[in-house]
Amino acid sequence: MIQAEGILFVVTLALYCITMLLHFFYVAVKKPVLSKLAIRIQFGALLMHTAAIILRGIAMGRLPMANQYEFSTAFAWALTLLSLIFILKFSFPVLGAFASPVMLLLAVYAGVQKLNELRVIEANGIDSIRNLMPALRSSWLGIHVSTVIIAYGAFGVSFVLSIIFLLRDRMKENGFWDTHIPKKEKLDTISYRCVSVGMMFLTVTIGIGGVWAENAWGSYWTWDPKETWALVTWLIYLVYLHLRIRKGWNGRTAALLGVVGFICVLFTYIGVNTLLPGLHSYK
Amino acid sequence: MEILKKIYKFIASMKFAIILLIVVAAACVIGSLVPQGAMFEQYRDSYAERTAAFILAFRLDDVFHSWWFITLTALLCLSVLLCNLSRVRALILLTRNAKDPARAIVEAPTASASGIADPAPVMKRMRFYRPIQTAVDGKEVLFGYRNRLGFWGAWICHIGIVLIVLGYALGQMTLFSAEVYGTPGQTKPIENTQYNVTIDGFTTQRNETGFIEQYVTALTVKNTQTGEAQSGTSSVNHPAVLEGYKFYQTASGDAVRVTISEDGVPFESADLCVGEELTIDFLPGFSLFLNAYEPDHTGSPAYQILFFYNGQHMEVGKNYFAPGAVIDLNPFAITLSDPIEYTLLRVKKDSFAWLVLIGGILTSLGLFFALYVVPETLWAVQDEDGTWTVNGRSKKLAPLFREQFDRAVQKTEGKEASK
Ligand code: HEM
Repeated sequence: MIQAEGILFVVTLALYCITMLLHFFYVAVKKPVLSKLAIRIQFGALLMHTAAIILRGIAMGRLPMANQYEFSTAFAWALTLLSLIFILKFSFPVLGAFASPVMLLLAVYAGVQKLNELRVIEANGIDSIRNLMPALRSSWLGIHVSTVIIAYGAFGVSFVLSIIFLLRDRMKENGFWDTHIPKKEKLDTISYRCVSVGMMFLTVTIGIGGVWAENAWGSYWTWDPKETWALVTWLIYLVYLHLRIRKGWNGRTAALLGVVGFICVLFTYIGVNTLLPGLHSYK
Repeated sequence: MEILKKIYKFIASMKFAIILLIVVAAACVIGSLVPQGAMFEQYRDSYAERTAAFILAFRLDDVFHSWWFITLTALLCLSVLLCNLSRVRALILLTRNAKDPARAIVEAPTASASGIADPAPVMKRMRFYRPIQTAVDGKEVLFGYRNRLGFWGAWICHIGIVLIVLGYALGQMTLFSAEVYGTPGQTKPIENTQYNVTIDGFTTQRNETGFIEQYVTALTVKNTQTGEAQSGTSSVNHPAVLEGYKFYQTASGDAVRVTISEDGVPFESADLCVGEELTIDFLPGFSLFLNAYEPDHTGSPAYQILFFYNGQHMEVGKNYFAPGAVIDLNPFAITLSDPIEYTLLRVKKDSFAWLVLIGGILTSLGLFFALYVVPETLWAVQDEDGTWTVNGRSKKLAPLFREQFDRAVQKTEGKEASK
């Protein structure tokens, strides 16, 4: 079962590569058929990825959201899903060309985690990753992780949109960009929609984390590094929401914050685990 | 007066709020990067002497409990409260005016299209199914509005945040926290309270591969003054709530049951957890301390026991004893049982956690209202020539609203909307 999951994961990675290349070709050659194909393959990759995650759950006999590999593959999945939704909802195929490298990078990061895990399995057997310590054996875990991957996925799309926003000024002369990338005002609003999804889910994630921590450890908030960095991320996006309301501050400043916010997300997600140990270190 | 007004205005301003939010975020970053709660020497070893002194002077070793962090948080709350206070009137007016056609339609629209023969289908496409029919300034008007709750989202969110901070602060100030540990059968007092805890049982549940899945303690809490008692079980993720206190299954450890006998006749027995000292009544001044249990001490399990006399460590030549061993103190003897496990429970009482929960719910609801319940107004005015001008307003998502509006006009009228 775990091998089948591994194979599906590799196929997913390959599909992500193809998706990215097709999105790039579309932008290079400007043939709409390529973008249609890219979107179809992205959808196929999403299905394959979903299957891999489900298989993983069956192999583990639990929700597959408890260790760094499972979390990172779910994060890549969420970004793929959300970028697909935003491409289709706003008829914005060019978004794919910018989002797919981020998607692929996250999936590759998950792949690296997978390789680490294979080493652990080889050394200690599969039970060492299948079994969860008592504190993680809680139904809150599933909700907590599901909401946070949606939040991070949405912040990821907003990051990509912010980059497009910041690059848009340089794309003036080229007719293709001008007609295929929404006007700045709309880009800014779509990015705001992404941040709205992210903020809603991040808020719920932090709240659920608090309820869970209260049940598991007796304190809903302990200033553990992961918590603190989730708060930092939350505050950055809160500044984003407030800045946007002030006249003249949406647009460039908001886009810059969209970039800074996602850097915080990545630090909360990877940096904290590797640099700042705490309760969330999955050890 | 003038100056007070200015201060009030500044504190209630969005500019101040944004600065504060950034500063609080920066403080959190510092608090997560500088190890918290270490000693001067540790900072001196990791950083330069000067930096270490700086860290201590500004309480960077305990950012989240420092006077300046608390002041920042208090200022943030004050700012939110004053901001909310100053906006109440405006919000009430906004909410009221939004449903009053005469007032709502004089404000600038976000999107507009004129020369429409029949406005109803356009409005329907915008999901305004039952517009109010009325007249303003002698003109026929169709009018619809929705999602006025959205005006209040930020306001509710702000109140939620203040409740969270207030609940957290009160909770920290009045927090009761202690630990009790023991082996099944033992009764221990909860420090600084009139309660004691009896460990009725302790089990470690393992799955078929031997991996520990759960620790379960059965316990009884007794009020030593009234004699009232309550029993329950506590396991990881499922604390017991007894007599107003919460008992969290926190850890477990090794213990030994020592049986003391005289001339081979046992007359006293007690459980000794790792880290505990046992004084023996009939040997005044003498005590033994269970320092560790090592399941694999040079190939076999052993207890490490230290002996003390009047607080002085006694070298007795032997410190490791296998389970079942007998320590001979002629005519007395101490027999060590096989290892048993003790359970450690954290005892907590946070009387204000409910306030934080309500604050959290309000914050989330407020956020939802602010971000997803977007106020919209749509109205059509009949022009002199009998055709209609349809207008819509949605400030928050203007570009998206405009597109949706244009599409609705295009689909029903087959023509471009004029903006
Ligand atoms: C941690 C604290 C805070 C939280 C959680 C918070 C939350 C929010 C949210 C969610 C919004 C709506 C944003 C949107 O519609 O896109 C908002 C708007 C706003 N906030 Fe805050 N805020 C906080 C602090 C402050 C402070 C300190 C002020 C003080 C002046 C402030 C003033 C405002 C104002 C004036 C608005 C605009 C309201 C509106 O458009 O209806 N906020 N806030």
